[in-house]
Amino acid sequence: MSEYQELVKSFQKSRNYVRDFLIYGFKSREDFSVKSGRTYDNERRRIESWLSEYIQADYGPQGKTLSLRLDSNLLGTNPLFRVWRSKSFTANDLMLHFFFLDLFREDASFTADELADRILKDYGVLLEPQLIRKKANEYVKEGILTSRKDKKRLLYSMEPEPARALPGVLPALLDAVRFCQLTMPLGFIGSTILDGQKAANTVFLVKHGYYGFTLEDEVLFRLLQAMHRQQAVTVRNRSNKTLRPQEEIFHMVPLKIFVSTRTGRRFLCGYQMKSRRFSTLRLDQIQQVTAEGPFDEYICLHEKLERNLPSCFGVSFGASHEMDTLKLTLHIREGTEDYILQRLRREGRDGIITRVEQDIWTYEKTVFDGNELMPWIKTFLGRILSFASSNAFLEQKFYRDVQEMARMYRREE
Amino acid sequence: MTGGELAAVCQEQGFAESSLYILPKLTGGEWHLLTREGGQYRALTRGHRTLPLTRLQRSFVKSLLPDPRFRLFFTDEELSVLRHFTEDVEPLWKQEDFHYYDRYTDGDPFDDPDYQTHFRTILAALSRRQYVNLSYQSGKGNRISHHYLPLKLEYSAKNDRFRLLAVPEREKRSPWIHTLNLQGIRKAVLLSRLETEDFDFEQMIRRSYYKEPLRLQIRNRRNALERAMLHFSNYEKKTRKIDEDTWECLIYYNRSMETELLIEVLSFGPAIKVMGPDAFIDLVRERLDRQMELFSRFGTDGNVTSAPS
Repeated sequence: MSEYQELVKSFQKSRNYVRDFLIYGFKSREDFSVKSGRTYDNERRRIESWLSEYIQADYGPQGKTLSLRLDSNLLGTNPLFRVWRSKSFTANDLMLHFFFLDLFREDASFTADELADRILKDYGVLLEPQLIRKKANEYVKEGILTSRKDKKRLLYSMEPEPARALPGVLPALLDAVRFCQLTMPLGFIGSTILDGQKAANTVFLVKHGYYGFTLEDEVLFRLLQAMHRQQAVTVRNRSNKTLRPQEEIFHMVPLKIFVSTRTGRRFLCGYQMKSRRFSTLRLDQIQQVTAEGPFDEYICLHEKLERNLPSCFGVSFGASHEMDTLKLTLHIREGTEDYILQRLRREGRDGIITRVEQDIWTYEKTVFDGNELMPWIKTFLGRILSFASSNAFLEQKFYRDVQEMARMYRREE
Repeated sequence: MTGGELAAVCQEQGFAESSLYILPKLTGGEWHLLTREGGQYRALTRGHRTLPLTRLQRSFVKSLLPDPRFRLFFTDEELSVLRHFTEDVEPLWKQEDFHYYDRYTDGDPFDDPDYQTHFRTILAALSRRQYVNLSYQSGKGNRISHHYLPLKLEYSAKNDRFRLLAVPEREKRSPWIHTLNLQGIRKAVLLSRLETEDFDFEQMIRRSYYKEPLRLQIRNRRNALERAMLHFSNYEKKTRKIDEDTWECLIYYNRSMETELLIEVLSFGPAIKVMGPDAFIDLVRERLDRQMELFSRFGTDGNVTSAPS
């Protein structure tokens, strides 16, 4: 059995554990039954080490439970970015990194053989030129070093540091990245720009920020790559709909990433080959993405999706071919409650808003899946005169839910 | 550096257990980066050059260039420098790759020149801890003008808006933070005064939280538990299992979050029940009482069989 290591080759294995500690925070060792207890112990110890300041341990009848306590309204960066710093490395990787940063200080250029000589002379470390060439070529690919031919010699030098590459612009860039690392996709990459310049963010905060998104960033990165190359993908998905998570394989053409700013979820929207329909998968449930070959009809599918988007209230394209029409009649005191009208306009996703008479307004929308409007419609409780839908089930569900809520909160006599 | 000082750096910069792995390798020579002289360790390297931006980092910057929020920070000349700097890399994403389906549609006017000027003035004030004279028009149409010390710029992903969190100069000692929508700022002028006193912003916010957290009881039907856990994961929260089907979730909040939380709780319908504090239960009751009253007044009394069609 392998020894416990703080760093990992791949983050994938730890990802679901971090997510569960963050999202749930009440699961005990027994609840993590997917792998062995020893795996849980190692993952728990690792995550406790990575995120020690934010981990809270509680002891209850179910045993020890761990939770991650993060208040996204207060933090200048996403503490979960740390998980991306957990990649293991070899001693040579590490030493060469620091030797390069030292040797290339004076804008010098070296061949791999010259680097090997300097490393032996300056630091007393004997490394094969071949190994150094391999590392230098890796750094060229990453854009840290650059290489050029001088007759038969391949010379390596270092790209200029940001302050020289961007004279005068760097301070503004750092300000912008302070903001963008918190709010934009793949923000971790932005946070590494700040780290490289020893620049912290003390200016920006984010409200309605979902830190858990970063745990899906590797999946997102691969999907975006496939989208730009117009490729189909195979997706291994783990659904949590049942108590025991189930894995399924989907063949899809990835077309768009749907993001909710209110529910903490992001989705892959694509064309599913098997069912020949558009569908969505939650990014946090996607375990692996494998790119397939280019998909010939990609642009055509993309255009078709764009045409469908206005009928999609959230992420569902509906289970049947019938559309749902929903009509909400509201009592809004004009003049004093105009903010409710404002809410309908800004949150109603182009639903038709009509003034019926003084203080009475309707909102109407036809969508693939009316069920997706139900949580939003309930936010107008206290002002709803009636709710009607072409889907009788939704109508019944609405009135049943409101009655049940009224019962739940009934004052005891 | 002494061994103790090395350990302190590991503790500060690394993970909680990093020093257990790093120190023996550094001091034992497996990572040949230090030499020992007397009781002190010295780096073999003479200094380190700052790393250039990698291709991945430049791709990140290139993805941001079309975003109006990113452009707020730059002049046109600076943007053209950045375009040149990133011309040999591909963006990681394009704006059209994402569909923010529930974002409000009345976000800030990021392309408006006046808005951009106010944003930059406030950003400069924040960086230098400088007072600023703000003329502000509130959502209700009231116009005020005060000297403020800007503390933070808060961005809401849902509203697509910036808000300035600031303290008025004359209420510097007050624990209350004022929130001003950037969109409502009509004029922003830097004042010459700088603030030297430290404000513990986190403490100020935490002090504003109610002592009693919002206490929710979640019944796991229609996948409500997972939906709620994800939905409320942007709040500081604590959850415990009550029985096989029921969980209790505590959410820490302040007055400014109250209406939003109320709306969020209502959206879950009967799957979530507010157990406390009493004042919050009253807010839910008030909405439901008003709702039932409307049903009975307008003849839609909530009876399932008599629902309108």
